[in-house]
Amino acid sequence: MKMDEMATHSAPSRAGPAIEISGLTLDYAAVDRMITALSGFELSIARGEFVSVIGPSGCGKSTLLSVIGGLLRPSVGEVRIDKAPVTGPSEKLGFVFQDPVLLPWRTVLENVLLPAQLRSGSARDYVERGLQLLQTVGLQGFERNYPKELSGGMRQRVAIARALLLDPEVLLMDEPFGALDAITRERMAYELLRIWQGTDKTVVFVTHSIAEAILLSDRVVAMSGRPGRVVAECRIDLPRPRGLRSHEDARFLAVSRELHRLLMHSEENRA
Amino acid sequence: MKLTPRAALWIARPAVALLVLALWIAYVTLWSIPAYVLPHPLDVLERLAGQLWSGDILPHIWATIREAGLGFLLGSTMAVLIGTAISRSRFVEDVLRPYIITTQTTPLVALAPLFLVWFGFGILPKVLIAAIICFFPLLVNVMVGLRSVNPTERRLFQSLKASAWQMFIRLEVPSALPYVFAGLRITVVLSVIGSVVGEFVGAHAGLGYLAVTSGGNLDTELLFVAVLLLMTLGLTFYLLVLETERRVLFWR
Repeated sequence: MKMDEMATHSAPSRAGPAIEISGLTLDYAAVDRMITALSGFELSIARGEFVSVIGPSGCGKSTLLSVIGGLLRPSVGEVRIDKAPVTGPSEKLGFVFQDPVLLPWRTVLENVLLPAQLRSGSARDYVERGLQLLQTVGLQGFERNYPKELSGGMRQRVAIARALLLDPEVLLMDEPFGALDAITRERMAYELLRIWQGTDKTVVFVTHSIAEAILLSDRVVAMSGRPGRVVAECRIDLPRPRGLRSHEDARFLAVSRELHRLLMHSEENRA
Repeated sequence: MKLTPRAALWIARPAVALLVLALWIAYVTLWSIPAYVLPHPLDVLERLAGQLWSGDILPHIWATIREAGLGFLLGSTMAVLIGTAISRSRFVEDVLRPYIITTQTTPLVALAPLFLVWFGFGILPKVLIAAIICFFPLLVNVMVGLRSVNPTERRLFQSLKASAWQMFIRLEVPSALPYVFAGLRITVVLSVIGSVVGEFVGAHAGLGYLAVTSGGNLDTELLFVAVLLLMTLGLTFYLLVLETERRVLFWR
């Protein structure tokens, strides 16, 4: 397969896998029948790797994140993080959802501190870190504002800062920029790269934008429609740091075309 | 001269009241309507001033404030407590929902004579009628409010390993507050109606009692005084709730 040729470039050498997903199948009961959201899903993600999961709507991308995050139990198979099986939510993981889900009655800073407050009752020890994270995401000076006073992009920055508060090893991002306008969305992608490059975090990023996936990732995993399986994996060896010019790189275009073809193809098979 | 929309509003609003008063005055004067059918508004105001000055009406005002206020507090507290308890279990809520809706469609004021039989002529039956009339609308709002948390908010809290109590106090309660206040705005007005209904059935004091007795005596002026005070009372209660809401729901 052509994809394999593209994947021959060697991965950046990093320690053993941070996340191992093996034989993952997830069924759930709909109103009148059982639905298989994921079937025999296999994926291994290295520490510090940025992996995007891409596929058509309803292919189980979000379900996959919920399973990795311990919010859903798989029917068969398991997920291991640092070799330990996932049995429930963990502080090693930070979630960012499509909707920033900021609590409107809390200030920006209070929203960022929520994870610490839920964990230990008081967020006092984290105020310093919270302020620092707000600076990292470019929101210094907005600590005391309420979410309603922020734009969509700024709210999502708050959500990212919140996800980073407890210093998780893995960021699980579920179409985090999906609700933003195209320009803000691209800006946020560059922002995310900038933030991520300063950390050693593993990122699993769900999206249905091919360009976004390529721009951000070390590796793009394409999923088939329901039940979701991996149909192709594609290593992206565009040089980092990436930016506007990455889009013009011939490799970007080649991978983009290939992924496009593949996803369209898998849709046809399904239909 | 051009008016801003806001200025136009502040002129048009009182103008409506003045128009109604003007029609009223024109009607009673031009057709020489007897005062026991429809009194002149200025006579009503004069009577009101006289009643307030002499203090004769104050016990009636106080009685209704007490009945409505206590009924409102009692009914609201019960609604919040029981609504919260019921919403802890989806099953219990599903079981009780049809009954709650049925109760909402029942005119509970029809129970007033029964309360008279059970609890006599004192303050208690009025408080209970006001409470029960407040209870059900607010109960529904409390339950809907506690269910209003969206699934992603729930997922966020789950991913942060929030306990059931944290989920409740940090997410469900604040999410429910707008619904609770929407309910309180309705029930605070209902509480005045409830106490008046109680007074209609049997009482020794209160603005509703005053309205019934003065109506019986064809003292329509005094009847209007009582109604005017009841309106003022309801409006004052409503504004108190509105102001509390504005302070509590500062983020809205």
